Amino acid sequence: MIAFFRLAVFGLIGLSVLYGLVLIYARSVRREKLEKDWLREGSIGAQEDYVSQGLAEYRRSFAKKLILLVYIVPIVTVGLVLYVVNFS
Amino acid sequence: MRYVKWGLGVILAIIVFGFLHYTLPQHDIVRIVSSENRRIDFGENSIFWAAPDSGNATAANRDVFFINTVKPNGKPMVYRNEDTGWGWPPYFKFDTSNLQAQANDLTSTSANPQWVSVTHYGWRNELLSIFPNAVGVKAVAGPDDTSFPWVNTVILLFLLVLVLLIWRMIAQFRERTIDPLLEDVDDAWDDSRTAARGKWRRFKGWLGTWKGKPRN
Repeated sequence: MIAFFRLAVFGLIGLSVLYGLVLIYARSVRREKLEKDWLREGSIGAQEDYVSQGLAEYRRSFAKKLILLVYIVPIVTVGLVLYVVNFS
Repeated sequence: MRYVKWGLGVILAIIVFGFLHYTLPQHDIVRIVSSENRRIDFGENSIFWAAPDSGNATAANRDVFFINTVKPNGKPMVYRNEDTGWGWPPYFKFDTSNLQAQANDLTSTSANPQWVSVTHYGWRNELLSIFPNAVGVKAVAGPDDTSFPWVNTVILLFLLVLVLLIWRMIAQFRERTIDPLLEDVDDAWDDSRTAARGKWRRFKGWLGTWKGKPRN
């Protein structure tokens, strides 16, 4: 059981690091896109307002929740491998 | 310098390839001859052995199951049969004893062969006395049975996506965070140079006044 907890703890630490990095990356990509959208739409209003409004929408969006797959996919994969290797 | 770079690149590629070749699953078509367990005292080759059966104590030596087989070309192949448990490589294999029973069940003679597909990872090396670890056995129709390596395809594609993601992340970080910082530093440097040049010119102008030149 110690081996299991070791895997669980270090695995979750690793996945959390990856989750954080993907979170930062996705937000940066979204911000860049919003800045370009603002330019293309004719630079109406303050750019900072446009971008922060877009980011607020993004924060509530489904796209951001999809980043949780960073946790879900590996854990489901472990369960699947465990089943296929031992019980099928 | 170019040769050093190439050399390091080649070494890195060999290490990555070797690591994947050792760790990813492969299928062998073989005929099981017998199975046994032997006591193994792990030495220099201890890195090539997995874990004791899950839940058992870890000792300096232990009994390991072996599956002795013969390939269709008549050459022998010996597999070890060990739990990987929750450790590396991530096969999460706990059914060692069941697999040994299955292997016993599929034992056959050369007169009446029963060909099986052994899923395994690892290498057989006589110089180091290391054996691939069998993960599963499955009866197949004949020695020419082949299967498409779906698992390896998925894993390699996933690794490729991961590498691309990390590469994109680094590129994005450089473009959005490092480069603007460097531009700031550049601007600050330019400003200070202009300011310094202004001071120097004023100083030269002041020197000129001693020689009767008008200040400009």
